[in-house]
Amino acid sequence: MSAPHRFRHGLRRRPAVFGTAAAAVALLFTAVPTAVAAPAPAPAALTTTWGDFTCDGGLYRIKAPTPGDLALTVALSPGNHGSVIQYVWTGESNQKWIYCHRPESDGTETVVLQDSWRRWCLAVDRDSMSSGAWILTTGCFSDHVPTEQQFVKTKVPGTDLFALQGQHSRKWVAASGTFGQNGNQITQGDQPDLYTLQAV
Amino acid sequence: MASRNRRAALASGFTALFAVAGLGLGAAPAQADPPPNPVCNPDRDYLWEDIVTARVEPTVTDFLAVAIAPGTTGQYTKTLSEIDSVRTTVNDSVEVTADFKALFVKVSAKVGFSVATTKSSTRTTTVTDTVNFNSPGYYGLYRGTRKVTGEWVRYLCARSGPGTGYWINTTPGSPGTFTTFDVPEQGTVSCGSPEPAGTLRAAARLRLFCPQP
Repeated sequence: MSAPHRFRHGLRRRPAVFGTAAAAVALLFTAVPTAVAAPAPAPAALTTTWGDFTCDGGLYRIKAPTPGDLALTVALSPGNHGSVIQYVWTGESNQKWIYCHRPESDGTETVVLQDSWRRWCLAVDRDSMSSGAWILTTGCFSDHVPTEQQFVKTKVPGTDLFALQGQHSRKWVAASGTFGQNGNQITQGDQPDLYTLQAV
Repeated sequence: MASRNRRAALASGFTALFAVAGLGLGAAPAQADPPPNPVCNPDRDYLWEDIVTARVEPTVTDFLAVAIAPGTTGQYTKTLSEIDSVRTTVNDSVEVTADFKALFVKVSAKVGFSVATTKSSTRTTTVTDTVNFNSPGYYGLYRGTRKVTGEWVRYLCARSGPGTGYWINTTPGSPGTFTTFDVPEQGTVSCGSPEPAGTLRAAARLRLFCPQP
């Protein structure tokens, strides 16, 4: 079976993260994700394994808990390039995710989310333990998944909603700023947002 | 037959022993109920905590046995030996962060006395006791506490929409654990004065190995 992911072997990029003001400016310039130039890989059809993670064959969008149709999106603007924001759904590759998961004995799942645009992994900025740290994408490893790229998925019983918690920081993933706004940066903190995973 | 009888007597002896130990521990079981309403408002609600179990156990931390012979009565200052210690823990970690203070306040409400709510230990440099022994006998000088161990659950209000959310269990699978303790108590027990079962004084007196009446 051919490898489903083009991992950056041992290479990890740390996107530059600027201050709040820069982030605000960046949000203004966050391009509608139609200008994605990176190669859009064909979705793998088969379930594959990555270490002890199982990766589903299809792609998913991660819908944010907003009245509008906002989804977790890899930002493309220069100021916050590579970070993850909630952005109106347009169906581009930087809004689609490869979903790898490992069931845990306590009923949760540990998940790794890889964007389908450049195949980088959802991560906590600079492995931070602090509230307010940005959620972004960093290069994946082919041979292992570091804990800052692992998230614990806790489901709400009886619904398709789930929360994500940084494996190493134990902080929760949520949008910063005013609730429901297009372009809000995703950060880790003390109160979780609930997401849904939808096959696309 | 005689052997079977002996075995039966042994077994019944063990049963009695465990029953007494169980009573002495003073278990206070409770149920791990989720929040009464699964829905919350993230603009107003933040967390919901509950103490699932709380077990109170008298624990002697420092002790010294003193034999006062006839003609040796009087006032003595003695140094006690540390025999045990209790420290606050959350999930087996001694690093008790500030956001667990409210949890320990709930433990206090559950057990009916004030427990340590911040990172602390019963351990101290030296424990001395000055006692006036006015009659001969076998005495125990003790310092101890009521250790409280148990389990907790914590739910966070997770946002699912404007003003709406659901409680998320932060300890899925198994509850979190804690250890804390009452304000330490220091005193004297003697073989001549029985103490109520299950108390710290009774635990201290047990260490004297008093002759059975």
